[in-house]
Amino acid sequence: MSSLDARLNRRPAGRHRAPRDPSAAAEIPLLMRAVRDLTAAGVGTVRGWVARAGVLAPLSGFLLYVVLSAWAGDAMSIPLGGGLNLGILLGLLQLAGFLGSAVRGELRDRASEPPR
Amino acid sequence: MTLSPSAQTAALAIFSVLATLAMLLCILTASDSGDPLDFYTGYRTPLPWTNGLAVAGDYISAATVLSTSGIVALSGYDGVVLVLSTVLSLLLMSAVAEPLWRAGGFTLGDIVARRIPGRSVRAAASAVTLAALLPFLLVQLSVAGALMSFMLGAPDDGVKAVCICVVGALMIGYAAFGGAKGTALVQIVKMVILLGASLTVVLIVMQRFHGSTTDLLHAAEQGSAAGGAYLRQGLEFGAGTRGRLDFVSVQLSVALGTGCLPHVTMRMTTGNDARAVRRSMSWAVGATALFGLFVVVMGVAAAALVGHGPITASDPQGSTSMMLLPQALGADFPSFGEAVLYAAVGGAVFMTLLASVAGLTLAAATSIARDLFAQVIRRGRGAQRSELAAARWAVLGIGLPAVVLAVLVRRWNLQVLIALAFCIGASAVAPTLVYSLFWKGFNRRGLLWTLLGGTAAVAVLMIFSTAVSGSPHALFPTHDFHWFPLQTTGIVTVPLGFLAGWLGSRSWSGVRVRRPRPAMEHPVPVGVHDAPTGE
Repeated sequence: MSSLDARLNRRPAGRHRAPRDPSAAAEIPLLMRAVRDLTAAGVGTVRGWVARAGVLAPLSGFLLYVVLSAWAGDAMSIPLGGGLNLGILLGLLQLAGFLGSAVRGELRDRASEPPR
Repeated sequence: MTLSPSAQTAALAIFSVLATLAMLLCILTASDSGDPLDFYTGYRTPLPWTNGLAVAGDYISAATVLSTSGIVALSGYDGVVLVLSTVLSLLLMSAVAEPLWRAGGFTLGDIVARRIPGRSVRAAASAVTLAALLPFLLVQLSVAGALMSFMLGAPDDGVKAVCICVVGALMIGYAAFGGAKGTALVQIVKMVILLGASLTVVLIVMQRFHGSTTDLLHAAEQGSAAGGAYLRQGLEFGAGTRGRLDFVSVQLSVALGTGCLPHVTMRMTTGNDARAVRRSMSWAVGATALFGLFVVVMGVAAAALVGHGPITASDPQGSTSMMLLPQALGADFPSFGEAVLYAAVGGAVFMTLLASVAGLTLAAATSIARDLFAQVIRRGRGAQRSELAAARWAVLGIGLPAVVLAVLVRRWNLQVLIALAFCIGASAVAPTLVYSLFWKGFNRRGLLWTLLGGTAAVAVLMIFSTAVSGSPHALFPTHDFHWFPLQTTGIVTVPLGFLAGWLGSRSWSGVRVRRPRPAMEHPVPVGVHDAPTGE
């Protein structure tokens, strides 16, 4: 396929820089390369984590909730007021949190809208 | 539970009115500019709330509404978590909506080809889009047949087939004439009706239980025939390690896969600037979260007021619980009240069915016209008018076989196809979007490995899962050839999809074909080095 693209004057694939010496790349073990790629993606930096907080906080919170629901069922069924238990309440609170973050985002973007 | 003739008449009347209204909207708003972009985009300058409701409308499909409310009614806790993961998925997508908008385009192929162009990439993106959307379309059509024949009070085979054909004909009409603009209007109308009808039901339920959650939940525990287990994880997937892993797998697949299905991303990128895109996503997430809350209350109320026995007698998966609830509530207001409430909820469900099948058909046809026809077959040099014609023919080419197939398999339990679509979204599309938007090292081989490898892994594991054979609710309940012990594959295939993309993007000294270094007197421009490997 790529030779077809070259004939069509398409932008080629790849990293758009001259290739590294393949023997040099082969010397780095796979695990080291994984660490290097993660670092390059900003995983090791505070800034990278702050930028991803909007995605990671709800996702990791939810996954933790799912795992706790599955393996800590006794703790999640501690009865609280109003017929609710801890698990149901945590679920409803997350749902309310999603709704709240949407409302907050809309209000923030509406406030920063330039007047027409 | 029998329907009064007045409720049936009201349902039939409201179906005809809604279907005609939606068709009129489609024809009136259709653009005749001959520019295919007008066919794919909703409005060039949409208001945030209208576009947000259209995104939410495309996102909340009929099959998910009905099956999720059924799972809440029958299994309580598991259903509540499922609602949560569904809303979360759209919230996660709202975080990548801005980079997606910057990448531009409508289809999955447009998004990835911006950085990694090529016919193979377009063809793979289109194949994955169709692999996710066509099974999803099939299950929506099948649900449409079952639900409509139920709402008309005649749940038999012939009526079901006729209903599938009627919905299919309307769907082809909406998608072919209306394009994205017409279907956007249908989605907005659907969301307004759906939110309004569910709010009414929720208010009547709360009034019935005097606003007391204690009474409601207690009645639900009684009605569900499960007692305290109703508010604990485990009713839907069973106890034990396998049930727990199944629960985690389903939640993971839904949270990562639902939002990045191509018919949702196609609608998300409409907007003039980054702020408009963000605002419409805020509206979409807000509407979805609100509706999720309503689904939880309606599901619990169905368990409390209808009860486990009547729900499973009507449908083993509980898909009809949303229609049984207004009947139970309406018994308080004889005849007229019952008819109005039933027709309102029935109309909302009917509109949801129509809008979701039309949206799915349009997204699949767009992928065929833009990725396969314009880029792979015509190599980007075809006329725009021919691309538009291809899109319209593709609507017909997808719609007709889907309707015929849905009629043929109308007796099967197709729930597994919903799981298939979500798992492909989570295992192939989600890693592709994350890598191509946020990782500079992602290259063509990594892209193809993720898209094709992720989809192939899902397909293989799904065929040999307990959702296809070896369990009473499987696609083939009388056969047993399963060796994968779970119902959904997400817990295995999501890491696999991410790993495939990363491994494919690495240079492997042993795998890569060595090429002679270019001679120094003929310097090759930077960047062309990677091109002629023929891999």
